[in-house]
Amino acid sequence: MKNLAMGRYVAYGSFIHKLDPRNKILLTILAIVCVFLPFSGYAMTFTMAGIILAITIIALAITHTSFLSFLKSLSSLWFTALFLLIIYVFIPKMGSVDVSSLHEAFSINGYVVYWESFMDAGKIMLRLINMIAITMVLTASTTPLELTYALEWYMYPLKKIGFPSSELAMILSIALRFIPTILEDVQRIMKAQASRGVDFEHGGLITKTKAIISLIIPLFASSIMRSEELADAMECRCYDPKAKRSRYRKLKFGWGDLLSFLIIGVVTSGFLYCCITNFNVYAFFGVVVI
Amino acid sequence: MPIDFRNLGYVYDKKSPFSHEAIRDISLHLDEGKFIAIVGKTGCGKSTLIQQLNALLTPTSGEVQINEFCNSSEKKKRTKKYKELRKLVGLVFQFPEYQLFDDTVEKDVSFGPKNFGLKKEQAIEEAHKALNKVGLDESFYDRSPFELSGGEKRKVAIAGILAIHPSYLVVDEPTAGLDPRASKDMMQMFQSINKEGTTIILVTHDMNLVQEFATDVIVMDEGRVAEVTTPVELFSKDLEHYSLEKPLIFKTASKLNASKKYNIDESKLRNVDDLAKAIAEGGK
Ligand SMILES: Nc1ncnc2c1ncn2[C@@H]1O[C@H](COP(=O)(O)OP(=O)(O)OP(=O)(O)O)[C@@H](O)[C@H]1O
Ligand SMILES: [Mg+2]
Repeated sequence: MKNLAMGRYVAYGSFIHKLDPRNKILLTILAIVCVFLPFSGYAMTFTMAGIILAITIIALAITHTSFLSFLKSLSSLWFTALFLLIIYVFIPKMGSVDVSSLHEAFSINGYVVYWESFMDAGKIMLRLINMIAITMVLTASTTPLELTYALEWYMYPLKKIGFPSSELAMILSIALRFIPTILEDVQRIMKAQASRGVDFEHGGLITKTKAIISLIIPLFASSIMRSEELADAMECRCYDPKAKRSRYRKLKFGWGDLLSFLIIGVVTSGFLYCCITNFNVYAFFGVVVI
Repeated sequence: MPIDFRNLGYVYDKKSPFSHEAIRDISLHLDEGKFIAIVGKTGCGKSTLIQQLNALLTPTSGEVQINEFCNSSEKKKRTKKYKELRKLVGLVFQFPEYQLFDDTVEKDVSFGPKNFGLKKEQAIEEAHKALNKVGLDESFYDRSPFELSGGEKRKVAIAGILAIHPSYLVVDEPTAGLDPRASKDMMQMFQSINKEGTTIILVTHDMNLVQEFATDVIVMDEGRVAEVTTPVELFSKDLEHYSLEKPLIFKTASKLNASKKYNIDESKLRNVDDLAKAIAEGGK
């Protein structure tokens, strides 16, 4: 339960919370595009990634996400980091890469390890960190329900070719609505089974399997019962999946959306320009870096 | 050995924006062998309190001592042997019917004893005894727990805890949703195992049951223990404040007394038979 709380929506009502979810999804996609643009040279790449990270951390601060919980959500990345490093260091540089242009870090029994391997691993790590930070801004400031409505809006054109976009949105929003309920169920059943002597933490494979089964089966049973009850309740209220629906809360594109769109738009354009023209500030000002 | 609560408090989701203080500053001493009822209005923290007893929840302040086991907010004082504690204190949840999972009733009930180290045959034997106690006969042994009625499921779930033979049996609203006959049988079964030496801690909203069966009552109000008394003492007071109803026979007796024709000693009444006898004797 506790670690699920990271990046979870908390109703702080900040500027970012109030933005139109459709706009937030668009801005998130733009920001992620920026993260994956290639730039000329490592220095330039790291500078640009740093700029994105700085902007994102400011956004996170606006949504009241504590820096600590951000760091915590990154802590699960250490294994990925190690893995990347091993891959990059131990895959030999050859083929298309001009080996003579690389910088040697050290060599083990004639196997040369280049600085560039570390740089590449670092580049990927930074991209991952940026991705996580950006999606955290979105999930911390937008309710799952708002997200589904926004997705439904984006899927609207697909309706013309018979794609059941509002039904899909309904299914998604029901599924999201029941995640906390099911988590509560999990806790309740775990407690009930713990009272009957089940130990969910210790024990061998067979004991563990039995413990998990004693959790999963009642969970399924209660979920199926819930879904039947929900279906009946919807039926009783004459729910018709094909009916045209209006909305209690209309999505509205406001001044804040325009402003944030302009900011991210300008940043993205700048990034795109640098990427396409292979612009390098360091070379431009004649600073020598690798 | 008794149960001792010392300044125990519990906050749900501590350190989060959703934190909620469910119980606070509970200090209580519960003796062994009693039949203790915990009453109080919905949401006053009864279920939270009883979950401290077998360490399903760990207090956020203070501690509770059950025999040699201690469930404390301080890590150093805490006894780590949760399994032994859960053998000592059997807890039946509110709506326990959702914890059934095995393919037959018999296997499901023997799951607990097996977890606590009994051999399969012994566990099945315990299961049969426990099922008998809750009033389910042999025809139920091989049925699937999922095709039983709500009340039967409840009985199976309670049997699942009885089969463990805890020294303290904690039951959270066991009779809610049972028919009057079944709930009476259930309570009489609790009374008989209480007579055999098991301490019963019963959470309930039904004051009739409290009057008939409990030896002690704990009244909770907004997360605190408001009173520790006996049923007789409790019902002779004004209960509006705790939004509790007086038991029917108590109300009947006071109405009869108010008519001046009778003079019934309410403190001697436990059940309808007592009342009938008192009326027949003219309430002298
Ligand atoms: N898992 C939980 N997370 C957060 N708050 C909870 C949780 N469980 C209970 N609470 C809150 O704690 C308070 C006490 O709940 P508890 O379940 O102990 O009440 P109760 O006295 O058993 O009520 P009832 O008679 O309805 O069973 C309530 O205000 C409830 O909203
Ligand atoms: Mg309760």
